[in-house]
Order: sequence, then structure tokens, then C-alpha cells
Amino acid sequence: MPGGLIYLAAAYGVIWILLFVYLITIHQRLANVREQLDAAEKRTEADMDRHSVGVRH
Amino acid sequence: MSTKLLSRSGTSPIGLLGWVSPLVILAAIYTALVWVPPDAEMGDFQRIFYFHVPMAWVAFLSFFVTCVSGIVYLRTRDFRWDFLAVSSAEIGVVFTTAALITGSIWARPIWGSWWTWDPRLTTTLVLWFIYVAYLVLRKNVDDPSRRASLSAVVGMVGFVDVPIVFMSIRWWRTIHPIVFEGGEFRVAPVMMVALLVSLAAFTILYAYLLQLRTALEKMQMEADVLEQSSWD
Repeated sequence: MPGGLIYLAAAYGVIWILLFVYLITIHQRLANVREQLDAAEKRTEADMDRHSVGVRH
Repeated sequence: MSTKLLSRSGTSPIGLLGWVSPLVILAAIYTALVWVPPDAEMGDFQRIFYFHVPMAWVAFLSFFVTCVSGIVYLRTRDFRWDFLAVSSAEIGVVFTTAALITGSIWARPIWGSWWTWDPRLTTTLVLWFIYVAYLVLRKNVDDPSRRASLSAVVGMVGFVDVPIVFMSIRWWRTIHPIVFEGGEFRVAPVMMVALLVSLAAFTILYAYLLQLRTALEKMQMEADVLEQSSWD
């Protein structure tokens, strides 16, 4: 079929672009959540430190 | 990166699937594009088939996992099942999108049209809308328990469309090719090998994506809980 390779390339291109974009999006979201968790943990530790200082005094 | 990220929340390492997936995908690409001979009638263009069918298969599998996870969540109220359900639904939507687009690209030169309201195409589009609605619903309900329960019900009811999609080309008049009929595949043995390799490769990719996506959902829940407790 003439021109068939163009359609084949288009189909393969769409699949891989879609899957790579999805994979990158998941990794980006994982990195964001990781930052969120770190920030929340630091806040919790700071709160606990403040609390223990208050108890000692 | 991902192994480190996931080990934090206590989930199992994803290293093995992360390495195996690209290898099997490369094997599938080689088999479909190089190893298997071109189709006698359609030529090289027919090779879309080796990726279009696995896209649809993974979509069906994803929605099945969403349905089962929803049922188990409603019975146990364990949020891990809800994480699995939403992760699988999202992957299912991605693969349904890929199946619809690759099918449309195949249809243009064969049927002379990008789209036709054929029963298979129409029911697949309905399936896509159902699970997009599932994801939109989750974005609009704040309470985690209510969100999980509502989406479990939608995930279960939505799955009813999957057997309809599968049977549509048998129940109604259609122009969509029938690959599997009477308990056997209607393709040449060499094409069957390429199809099976591709099916296996994309199923492994699905498992990898599911593991990543479920871990993300779990970590997001942990972050939300920590955030909430630090403000209280």
C-alpha cells in the first residue's frame, strides 16, 4: 500500500510520545510528592524540637 | 530515582520491572518491525496491528483491575485497594487513548475515514468517557473515604462496557476486523508470535506503570496526612 509507512510511523510516534509523556509525568509527580514529604517532615521535626525545649524550661 | 523514592514509603523496589520493561519493549519493536514479514495485502502498514491490539488488551486489563480493586475496597475499606483502582484506571485511559488513535490512523487508508460510528469504535469511545469521568469525579470529591467509595462504584459499573466492547463485533454488523473468533486467533502463526511478544511486553510495561503509579498515590496520601497534622 503506497504511503502506508507514513501511517505506520504516525501510529508508532503517537504511542511512544503518549507513553513517554505519561511516564515523565508520573516521575515529576513523584518528585513533587517527595519534596512535599520532606517539607512536612521538617516542619514536624521543628515543632517537636520547639515542644521539647519548652518542656525542659 | 524511582527506587529511592519508593523505598521511602515502604513499598517494594521497582528496579526489576524498571529494567525488564524497556528490554521486552525493544524485543517487541524488533519482532513487529523487523522479524515478522509484511502482510501480503496491506504490506508494512499492517504492523500497526502488533501495537494496536496490545493497547486495547492492556486497557481492558486495567479496567478489570480497577473493577476488582473497587469491589475489594468496598468490602475491606482498605485504601491500598483504592490506590490500586485509581492507578489502574488512569493507565487504562492512557492505553485506551492510544488504542483509539492507532485504530483511527489504521482506518484512514483502509476504510477511507479517520472515524466511523462502528459498534466497536463507539463502545470503545464510551469506555474512554466512562473512565475519564471516573478520574474527573475523584478530582471533585475531597473526603478520601467518600471519594474512594464513589469511584469504586463508578469503576465497577463502568467495567460493564468492557465485555460489550469485546462482543460488539460479534453482536452487531461491523466493519472492524475480527482477530479472535471461535476460541482461536485468525492470524498466521508467524504473526501470532509477534502479537504474543507484543502482548507480553505491554503487559509487563503495565505492571511497571501500575507499581510506579500506586506508589505515587500512597506517597501523596502520606504527604496529605503529614501536611494536615502539621497545620492542626
